[in-house]
Amino acid sequence: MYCINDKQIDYILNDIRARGVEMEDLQYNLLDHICCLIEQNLEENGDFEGFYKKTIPKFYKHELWEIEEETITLLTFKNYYTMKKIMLVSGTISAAFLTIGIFFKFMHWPGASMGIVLGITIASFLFLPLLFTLKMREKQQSKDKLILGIGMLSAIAMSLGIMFKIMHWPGANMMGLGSILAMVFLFLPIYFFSGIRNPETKVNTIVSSLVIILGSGLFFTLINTRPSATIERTNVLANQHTQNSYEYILKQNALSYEIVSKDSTLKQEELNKLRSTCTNLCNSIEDLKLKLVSASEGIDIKKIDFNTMYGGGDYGVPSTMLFDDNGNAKGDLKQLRKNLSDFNAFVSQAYGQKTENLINLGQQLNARDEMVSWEVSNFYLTPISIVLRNLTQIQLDVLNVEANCYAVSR
Amino acid sequence: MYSSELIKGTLKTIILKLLVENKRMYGYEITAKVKELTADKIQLTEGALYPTLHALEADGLLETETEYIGKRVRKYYSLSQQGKKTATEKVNEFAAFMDTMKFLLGLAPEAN
Repeated sequence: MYCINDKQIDYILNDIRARGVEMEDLQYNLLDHICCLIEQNLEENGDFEGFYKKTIPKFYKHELWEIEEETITLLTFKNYYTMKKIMLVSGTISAAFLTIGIFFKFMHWPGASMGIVLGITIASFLFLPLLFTLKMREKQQSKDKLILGIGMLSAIAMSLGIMFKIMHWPGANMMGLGSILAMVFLFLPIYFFSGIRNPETKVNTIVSSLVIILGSGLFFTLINTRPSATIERTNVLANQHTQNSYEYILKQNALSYEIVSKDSTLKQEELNKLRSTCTNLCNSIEDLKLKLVSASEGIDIKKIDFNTMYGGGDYGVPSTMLFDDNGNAKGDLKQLRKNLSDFNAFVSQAYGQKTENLINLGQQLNARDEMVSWEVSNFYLTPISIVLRNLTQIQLDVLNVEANCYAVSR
Repeated sequence: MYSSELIKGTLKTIILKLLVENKRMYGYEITAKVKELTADKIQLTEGALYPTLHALEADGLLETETEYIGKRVRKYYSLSQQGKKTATEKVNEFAAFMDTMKFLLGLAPEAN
């Protein structure tokens, strides 16, 4: 029996490490094993190094670290069941959240968004990645793994895009479009043509491809939806109606002014101030309208035709042009409020107009039935077509107050 | 000597059963014992044995103790409670499997 000394033990251990075995546990197991082999099989004065060099290749096919690789494979296989369990549970939870969220959304109940966001987040960051990892292990060829990878990434991007779309978060359309492009033009062709060649997977491939096309088509419709043609047209008509009233009363007020200004008993100075203030106010609002449309539609102010612009649904431009990052009015809108409140002060002082006859600049209800400031209610996150109508309505209000002042003067 | 494919499927059963009989063993001891019991017909390779031992440990079927022999560390494996149960199950399963195989390959009529 051979007796191994400490130096030789160090030699073996270093060699095991040098051959790429990194798990300490395994290093010591192998070390003890080799020592036993040498002690049992080498005669007392045998050649240690020669025997070791002959023995160690019997442990592996190509390299010693294969043992470690096999160990890791077996150890992760243990996690396989845990992962599968988590995948199923997370899938169920996310489906439940999503269903509840969508149902709440339909019923306009509070908490709908939370359900949808939770559902899609769990699906995108837990369920789909786990599904991907588990499926990856089943695929042998690197081509199959590539197809799976592309498919999974576009699926995750698509589900996040849908969430962004539902939540009206910025970047939704870009994400959606990107994921659809990846899904339909990258994943689908590779998946379809590799699956259809195999008789076993032929039918499955065709059905899955159709479902993918259908789903992508539905999502594409969702991200491209503009307000329906009827709603757009109705908006145009309603806006024209307000515009007509405005123009009608504009003429009436011009006539009234002529009549009352002939009456020398009235204070001419005040009448002139009323007339010029109203005209300036209406003109400045008209300028603001043109500015907004020009920015929103990206066209020159001179080329604007209100008849075709009134239906626009964009609400980003009015919000960014009229409000700062904190949602407070800025620039033109701040000036407009000041002008209107100066106008209110002037007519109540000079013509004794009571509060109910003045322009209401106080808090108002918004679309969600919350009391918000006059600015937010009329302009914040409001589609451009509605912003324009609200501005025309303010012009109309100004002219109504003017008409009232002429009436009390007579 | 039997092919490694045949041994691979039964390695866990062999290890668990050996530990039922011998209480605690270390890696080399297991290979030596199998070799002795089967008259060299079954030779466990190190490349198969140690990964399986680690996996069984991670599954909670085996418990380990380490002993220092000079500079060497020897890891002894023994069955946990769960391991004892699984050992019986595995042996029974394999016995039934052998009966089925015998029948399937026309070596003997099936017992039931």
